[in-house]
Amino acid sequence: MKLLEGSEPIYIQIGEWLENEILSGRVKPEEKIYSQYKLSEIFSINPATALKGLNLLVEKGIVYKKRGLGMFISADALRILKKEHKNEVLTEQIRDLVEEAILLDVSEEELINLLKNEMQINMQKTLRNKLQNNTNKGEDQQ
Amino acid sequence: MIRCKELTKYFTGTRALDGCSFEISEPGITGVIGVNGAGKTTLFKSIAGFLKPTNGEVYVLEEPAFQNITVAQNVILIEEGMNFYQSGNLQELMDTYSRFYLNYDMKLAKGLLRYFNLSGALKYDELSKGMASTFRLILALSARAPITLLDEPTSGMDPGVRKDLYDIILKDFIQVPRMILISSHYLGEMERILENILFIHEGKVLKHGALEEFETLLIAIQGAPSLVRSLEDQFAVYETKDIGEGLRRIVVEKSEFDHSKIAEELRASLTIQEISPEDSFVYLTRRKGGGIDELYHS
Repeated sequence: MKLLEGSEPIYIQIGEWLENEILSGRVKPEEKIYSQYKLSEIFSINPATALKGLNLLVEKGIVYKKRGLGMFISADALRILKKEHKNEVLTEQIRDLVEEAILLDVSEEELINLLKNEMQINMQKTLRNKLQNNTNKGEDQQ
Repeated sequence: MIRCKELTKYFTGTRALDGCSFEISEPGITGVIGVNGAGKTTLFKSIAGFLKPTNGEVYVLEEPAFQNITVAQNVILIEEGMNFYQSGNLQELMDTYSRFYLNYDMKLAKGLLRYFNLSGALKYDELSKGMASTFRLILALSARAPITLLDEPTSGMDPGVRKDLYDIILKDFIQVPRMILISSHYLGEMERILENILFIHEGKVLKHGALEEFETLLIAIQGAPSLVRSLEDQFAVYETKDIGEGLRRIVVEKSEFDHSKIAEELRASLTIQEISPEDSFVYLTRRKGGGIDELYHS
């Protein structure tokens, strides 16, 4: 993901980056999240700005403070994030998609077929990756 | 603590500072932004106690700054035009500073000199422009003064070195939090290491606040020309531009637009874009009246 290049405020970019770290499973519920100083080091940004990014997640209940221990990812984090991303990110992308489709005279039926097709390709890809992983594991054991 | 109250400084024929008021009371990195001639260097020299205010006051650590020894020992100012005595090599210059600044960190100074491949035996006045800037910054950071004033610290430097130096300022601040003020005529890559911005224009403080406040200062509104024109009397407009036949774009203050009584359905038919802090400074300091386009209108 591109960070600190877009025109969005830095603390918002930090908040989004953290959300993606949680959504992708690189950091997990009940684990400690990056401290403001760690973030400041990773992205070479002012620690105050990093803290503002972290606080965006605190406000949403994705991250909570343990006194004297730092900030942790709440047990509910994934549920909150998925719900929010479904409501905002996905809706927005679908709105753009529909606008583009109308411009290009793509009918509702055509658009739905394109979506179904894309879902199928994605499922096959996931399945292939799974098989590939299993084969690799099998080879490792031999 | 730094406190300026209606600080005014006249030089023959010019008003360098004209009723400048602000206060900084917490450690943090503040960017002092303004076009050339806005008063940044005069402000720094006044805080360091080098200049006597014509009017108003500047207090540092609860004491009037001008020619005050306590202030001098707690403030370090570096700028391009600063004078070192001629014969000094870099090591001798550092020794002089280490005797004056009680917290001077010689180990750090030597480490940074090595990092930038600068030998202590070099003469300051034989350094290239960029190298001299680097040395001044090493001197300023090693002093570990509670108030550190860096006037255009990266002038004449290569972009690669510039990025390095901002990283060093940030790391040094995290290790020893203190008030660091960095002046520049443009925000650019400095933005990421700042907590606050002090925006100076024509000798006055135009705005002083957290970086985030500058990120939501101005917005561009785009929409059908007739609709956009109808909005123009309601706001202070910083720029108008026609984009093709069916689109007009104006730049206004976000807070003014948010608080205005424009019907929801009208808002929905407009496209709104935030303006970056960098571009906001350009709009806010631009001469009043028409844009360049009007000068060249055929």
